[in-house]
Amino acid sequence: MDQRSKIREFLQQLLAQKGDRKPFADGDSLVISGRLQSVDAVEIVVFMEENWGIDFAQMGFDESQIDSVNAIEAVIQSAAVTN
Amino acid sequence: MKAAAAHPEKSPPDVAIIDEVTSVVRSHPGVHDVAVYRQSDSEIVGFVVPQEKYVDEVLGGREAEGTLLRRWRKTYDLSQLTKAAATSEFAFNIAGWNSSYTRQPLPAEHMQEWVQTTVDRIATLAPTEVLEIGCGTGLLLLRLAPNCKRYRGTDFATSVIRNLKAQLSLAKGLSSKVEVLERSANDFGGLAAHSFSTVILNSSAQYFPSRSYLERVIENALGVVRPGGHIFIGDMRNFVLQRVQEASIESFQAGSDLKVADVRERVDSRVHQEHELVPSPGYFLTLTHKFPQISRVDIYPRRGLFDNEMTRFRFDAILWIGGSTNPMPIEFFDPPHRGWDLKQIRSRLNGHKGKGMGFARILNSRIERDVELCERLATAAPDGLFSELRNEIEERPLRGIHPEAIFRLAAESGYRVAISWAACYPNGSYDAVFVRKSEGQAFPTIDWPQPSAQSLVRLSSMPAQSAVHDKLVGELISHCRIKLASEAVPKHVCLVDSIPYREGHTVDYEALLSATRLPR
Repeated sequence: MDQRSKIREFLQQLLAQKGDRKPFADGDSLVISGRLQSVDAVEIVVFMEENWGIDFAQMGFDESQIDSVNAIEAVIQSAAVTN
Repeated sequence: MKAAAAHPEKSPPDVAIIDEVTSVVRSHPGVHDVAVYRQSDSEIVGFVVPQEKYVDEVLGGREAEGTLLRRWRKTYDLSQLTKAAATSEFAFNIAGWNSSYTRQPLPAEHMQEWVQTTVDRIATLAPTEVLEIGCGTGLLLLRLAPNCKRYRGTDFATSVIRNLKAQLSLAKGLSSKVEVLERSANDFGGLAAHSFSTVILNSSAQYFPSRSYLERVIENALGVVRPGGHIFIGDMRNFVLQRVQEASIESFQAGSDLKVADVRERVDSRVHQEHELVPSPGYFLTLTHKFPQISRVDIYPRRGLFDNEMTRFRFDAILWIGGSTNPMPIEFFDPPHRGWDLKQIRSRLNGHKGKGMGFARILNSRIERDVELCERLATAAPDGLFSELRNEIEERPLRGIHPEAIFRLAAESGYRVAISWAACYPNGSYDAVFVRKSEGQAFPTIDWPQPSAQSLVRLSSMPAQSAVHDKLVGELISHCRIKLASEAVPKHVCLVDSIPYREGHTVDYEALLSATRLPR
């Protein structure tokens, strides 16, 4: 499974746990829009830390970094370049 | 546990079925108490008080608590990695304080008022040795500690404590009396008995995973507070108004094309998926039965002139430890038919000769439109446009009184005043007691109007346990399917915190039904 599909599948599962099965595009806001609450969004952070070794303590954190499939992928790619 | 109760208004065959269902449900190990009701359409509903130990140990409630705590800890750690935290001014790190309405940071001036009103209220308790659990970034600590002999702040989030320590290193004269530690709220290790005058849990208990966790913290806190001291549990969202608050937020966010049914569904979903512990003021009042060292409980709505979710929906609970309570005799006046207005209250005060007087059920103008919106949302035609309902309510003139207007009136009239949410009126109305300034500095103990039996049926949200409770409901339905004829299997099972009884043994169905929302 490619990176984008993996991110998408994870977000779909997270939304489904909240009973939200509506479709979303790769650029759709999920956290800032309120579809996921901040306490749910923590799961995205843990997912990124565990799968790609993202260290937010190092890079600083902003909800926009985990707001969509595109945003998450951009953070992962930027971390890969830095490393 | 009480004896099985027959339905008071049903014919004998119904009574037999209800007794049988009651007995079968009660035989499940996850049930502490039960009442069964048959609706007019013959559907059977079970009201169940869960057996806490079963929920925690068999269904995984304790594990779910741990998971939720870890998620909140991470949320707070992340909030301190933001630019807002890094650039915050001294003693005013409000990173992570976002509006539920706009999802944007709360305006700084609102937060300044929030901090000041909290500090002012705690200062009335004259704290000397303080334990603050969930001290966060030190918004209270850095203001209260200078006037205390000793102040210990704890928080469960590593980066929160790190940032607070950095601030403390800049504060003059605090290092000798302030200690901050990273530890969980229920870790009281190393604290001597009766070594604090005041324990503060301000805006932190809502991140506790369950009411039983809060109760364990309170029990521990009672061990370290000395007689004459206080436990201040501040800035709690009010469970009585939980649905009103969610309706208010959804109304603010709803686009003009949404139907009533859409908004109703969103509100239901918010309530069901509540991540925060939202207690009823009534819960704190029940603590006096469990912990006799609590001599008095005050329930005060939050103060402030700014209109925001804290001033609309939150309250402070102050538990007084030990000491004698001699309530000042106060007569409470019921509101006139059209409700109280300021002119009537002023006129009564002016004509009064006694030490003080009370006014019951003052309609709260801060939230009266939110309350009406929530009520109308439940009954309006589902296909109607929500925006039309919202506009209609917003155009109505307000009938209630703003709580701060009551404080202004008292100051102008030579009185001090306290307003209380202890009675848990479902529409957020409040009671007020005016006491002449000549009666002394400390506000006297008041026998405030108390909650009805209906208000004690449900005492809080269950943030960590909603999934676990869904599991219990599923188990109970399956249990009934095995043991009962299909027509006797409850259509719905509602979990409650207590079954109200009349004269000790007959179920008060009226209170039970009005306190719960059966699925539509």
